[in-house]
Amino acid sequence: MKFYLKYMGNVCKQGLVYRFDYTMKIIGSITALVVQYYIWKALMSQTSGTIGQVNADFQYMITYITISAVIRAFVRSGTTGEINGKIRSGSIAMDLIKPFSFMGLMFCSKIAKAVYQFIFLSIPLLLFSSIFWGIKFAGLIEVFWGIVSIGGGVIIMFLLEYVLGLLGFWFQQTWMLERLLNDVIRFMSGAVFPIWVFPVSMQSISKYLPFQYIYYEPITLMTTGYNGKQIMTLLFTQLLWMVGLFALSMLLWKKSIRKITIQGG
Amino acid sequence: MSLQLIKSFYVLLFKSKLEYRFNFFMEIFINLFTYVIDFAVIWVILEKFKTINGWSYYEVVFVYNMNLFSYGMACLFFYIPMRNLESMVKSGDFESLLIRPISPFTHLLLKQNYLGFLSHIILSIFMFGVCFKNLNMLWNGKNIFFFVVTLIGAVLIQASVLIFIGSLSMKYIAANSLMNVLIYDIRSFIQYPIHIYPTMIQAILTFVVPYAFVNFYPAQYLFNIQSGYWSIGYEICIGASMVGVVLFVGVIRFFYRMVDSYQGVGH
Repeated sequence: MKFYLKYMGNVCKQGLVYRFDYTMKIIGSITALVVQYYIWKALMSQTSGTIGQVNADFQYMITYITISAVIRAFVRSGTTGEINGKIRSGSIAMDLIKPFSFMGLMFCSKIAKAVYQFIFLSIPLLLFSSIFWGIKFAGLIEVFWGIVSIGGGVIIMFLLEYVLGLLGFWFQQTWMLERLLNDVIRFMSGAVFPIWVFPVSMQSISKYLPFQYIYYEPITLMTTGYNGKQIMTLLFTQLLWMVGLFALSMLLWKKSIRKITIQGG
Repeated sequence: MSLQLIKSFYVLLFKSKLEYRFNFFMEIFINLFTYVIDFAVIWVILEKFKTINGWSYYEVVFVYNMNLFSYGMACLFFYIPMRNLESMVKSGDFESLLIRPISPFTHLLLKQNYLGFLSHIILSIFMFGVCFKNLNMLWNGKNIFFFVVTLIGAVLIQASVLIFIGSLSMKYIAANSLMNVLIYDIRSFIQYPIHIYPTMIQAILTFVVPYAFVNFYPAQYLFNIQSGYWSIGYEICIGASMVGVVLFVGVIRFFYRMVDSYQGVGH
């Protein structure tokens, strides 16, 4: 455990080296949020009352896009690229001889990156939005369970990225798969627009995919609120996805570890 | 700089691309997919809300598309060279360009081997077709001339941004993150018609970073609607395209000035 914490600390330090990069990143994220704000301002000004299944007003929408931006700032951490880099450079051999699980190492690296991205990107975004526009949550309990389910989303995201990373043993260039995944997530997860904007047919497809459990469900839980039963269903569904993806990753790992050839060293 | 040399660079480029055919087609496919998703996002949102501040789906797509086309054209030639400049300066590879008998700028452009931006161009031409079919636009000689000139102007504006930021990396090493902000974040303002933004942002996009001339003002004229804060019509758009030429020539000169004052990072 101590080792994993130390490892996480080091990953954090790496991220803080490039201050100019960081400044630019924060300007970028805030700009993206501002763009979203005005798009929704224009869209919501043409409607009144209920759209879709929810009673959505502009305040709700601001909160929605803010939480979405907050999640986006830390949920992606390039695990796929990291694994691919290790495979291609051969440094994965060094990780394999360590007495720690490879998945554990990757997960720590992911969590450490997520933590510093949360502190240095998400919190400024949250502050920016609440100071200039004002955001409104459903209630304290909803926020608590929302954070728990965002945690679940992070794990689902990690497993998806990890599985793609392992595919790097078969395909040399996983950046393409990573981009495909990110594009699908952008479209199907509710990151850019709430799922209720979809036509009904696509809403029902989306229900059976893991993506909306990363963005849409946790955000809805925090903004409009769920009752106890809905919260349980959400967390249970997330758990199911985690177990399924974990099993898949184990299977892939077993196959890939036999396939590995390290060229020199 | 003979044509013969340029030709042989391109022949080599295509040969190396066709060697890894699968990768080449994947590059194109992945880029296509990203932007198809973008159009799908606009479709889903406007299917629900019908219009955005009075602009319909195909009008928004047209605006988006002018941005996509000009970005693709500019990036096809300048993205990878300007992007690589940072790491070339860091590693010292850039020095090798300075001792060649052809100008460093031309050599930099010819050295690249990425054609993924073809997909932007293919997709945007296809979507232009879809827009022309679904939008009632008046295509007389004057308007066709206007469309072509402003499109060229748009390409030059997009290219100027890339070259300008790229040149900075000769002096300030971390220029790529600044480029990210400009070409991904600031440019995302013009994915939708800019009249949804307050006057301040419209002013920045008109006078500081002239991205509004890439798509919004030309589209506004072609649709014959006035939505922006400033009424910018035919002559000013053509004028802005001329400014695009000046800008483009200016940033290339800027590139050479940066080369002249290039110090290296010590090797």
